Amino acid sequence: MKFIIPSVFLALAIWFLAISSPAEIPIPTRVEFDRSEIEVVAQRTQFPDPPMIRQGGVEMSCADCHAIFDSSGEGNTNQRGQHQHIELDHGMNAQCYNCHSDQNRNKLILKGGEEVGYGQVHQLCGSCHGPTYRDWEKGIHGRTNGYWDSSKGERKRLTCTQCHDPHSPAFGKLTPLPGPNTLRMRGGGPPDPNYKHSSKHNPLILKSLSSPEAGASHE
Amino acid sequence: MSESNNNPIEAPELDRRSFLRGGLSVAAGMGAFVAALKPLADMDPNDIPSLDGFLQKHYKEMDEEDMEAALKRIADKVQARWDVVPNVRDVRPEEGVEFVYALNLSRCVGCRKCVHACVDENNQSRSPEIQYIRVLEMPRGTLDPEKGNHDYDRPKVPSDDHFYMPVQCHQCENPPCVKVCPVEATWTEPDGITVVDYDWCIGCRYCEAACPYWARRFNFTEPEIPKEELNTDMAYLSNRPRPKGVMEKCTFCLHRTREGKNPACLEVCPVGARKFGNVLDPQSEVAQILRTKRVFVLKEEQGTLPRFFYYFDERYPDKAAAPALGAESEESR
Repeated sequence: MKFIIPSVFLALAIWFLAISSPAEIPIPTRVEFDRSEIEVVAQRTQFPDPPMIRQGGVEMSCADCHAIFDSSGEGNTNQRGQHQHIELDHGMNAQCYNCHSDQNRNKLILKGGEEVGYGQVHQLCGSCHGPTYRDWEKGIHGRTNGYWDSSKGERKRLTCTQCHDPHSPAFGKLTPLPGPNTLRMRGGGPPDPNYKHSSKHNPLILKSLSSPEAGASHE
Repeated sequence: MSESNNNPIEAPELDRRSFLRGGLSVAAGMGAFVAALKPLADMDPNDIPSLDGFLQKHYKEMDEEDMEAALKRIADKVQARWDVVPNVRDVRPEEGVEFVYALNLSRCVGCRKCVHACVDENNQSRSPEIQYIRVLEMPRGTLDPEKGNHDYDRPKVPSDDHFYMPVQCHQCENPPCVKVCPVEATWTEPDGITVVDYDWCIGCRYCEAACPYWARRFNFTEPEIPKEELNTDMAYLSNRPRPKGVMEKCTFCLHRTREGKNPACLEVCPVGARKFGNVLDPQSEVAQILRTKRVFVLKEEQGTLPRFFYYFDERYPDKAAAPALGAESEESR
């Protein structure tokens, strides 16, 4: 009788010694993607003021061309002439001369008839988008890059047309980068074949990856 | 007592039965001891700390000399493992600065650029992956995080029926994670950032359990970072490579932000939904957001007093799709 307890301990010790192996941690394989997709550059380049284009090897401003081709008074978007490539999707704001000056093609025109340069485009946008303009002035709307502390470096602010296409200002949809693939957060998708776990009761995973509820999304 | 002193000490008679019993007990004990130590045989020699490293003091108790030695140890380790010379430093908080983050839920499109920019900047393990930011895809009309899904996988975002709520460390003013740490390996710095001394953490994961935002991450394995992706600009309290078995968390990129720069997640946000700055400066963007926008904090009822705020615009960009959330017609203003 007195041998039983030590015998059990001895048996357990031998068993533990025999089966013990380093903990095997289930590591899902890395999801590869093009890491350059993380970087965001300003989507658009801002026009110089006045806007210049290179036509037949000559730098020309808008007015240089429009001095030859008189199109004053048209402004109907069905008659876009040379500007067929422009996709116009700006809600009810669908007339050229709502924003462009009829008289001076190097200028934009405000509601009051005042002409502003392309560098002051925010004044034109702000004349309709009041709350957004107010936020933008304070730095609440739009991107701020570089330094939060302007005493240490440049606090880079972007103007309206550096992000938005003025003719079609809404952003297009983006392809999302891969979601969580971590030890405990992995959920959706088919079970990973490289995901190996020897124990049925692996403390490292919340749910078995092959079980249906693991991939349950809230849709 | 006196009687036994007079008698010569006699060895107790060892009979066969007690010999067997004693012998068996000793064998069982030894066996158990060896079994308990067996995992040490599988230990990687690189996991054994140097004597200096073992005797290293707590971050707050280190003087300049100790810190210099600690930084050199980190640099040597990085060089031994990745064969690059890192710039490791200890960046201290500035006077008169308290960091606050604000995130515009009306703008976030759920592209997850912030998630991966954070991983790249902060030298998180790539395999298994550790991510500080979770972007929750939430059905319109609720703010209950339980209804959110961080595994969304659509060809294009944003979905018209959802909005997106990125969650990361909220750098609370009343942080539950700090209170539960049994060894004071985590604390809040004067500029509001809750940090971890990776050399002091014992990996008990109490803080992970205490955090209501699920913002803390544990290194179950030795973090795996490809050499070409290693960020060599490192700080002791933020993005230096972590050892296995310690907790880590978002530090608002303190190696960047304490030098005036913006955090990495903000830099890559394509829609400008993320705003960061010094709330003690009334002209800063975040201070103006807190004054003028409609702001809320996540899980306010927990009393954690986060330094991470969510806010809305007056008008949702897609007003037809979102009558319930952040909708306020311009006429009513």
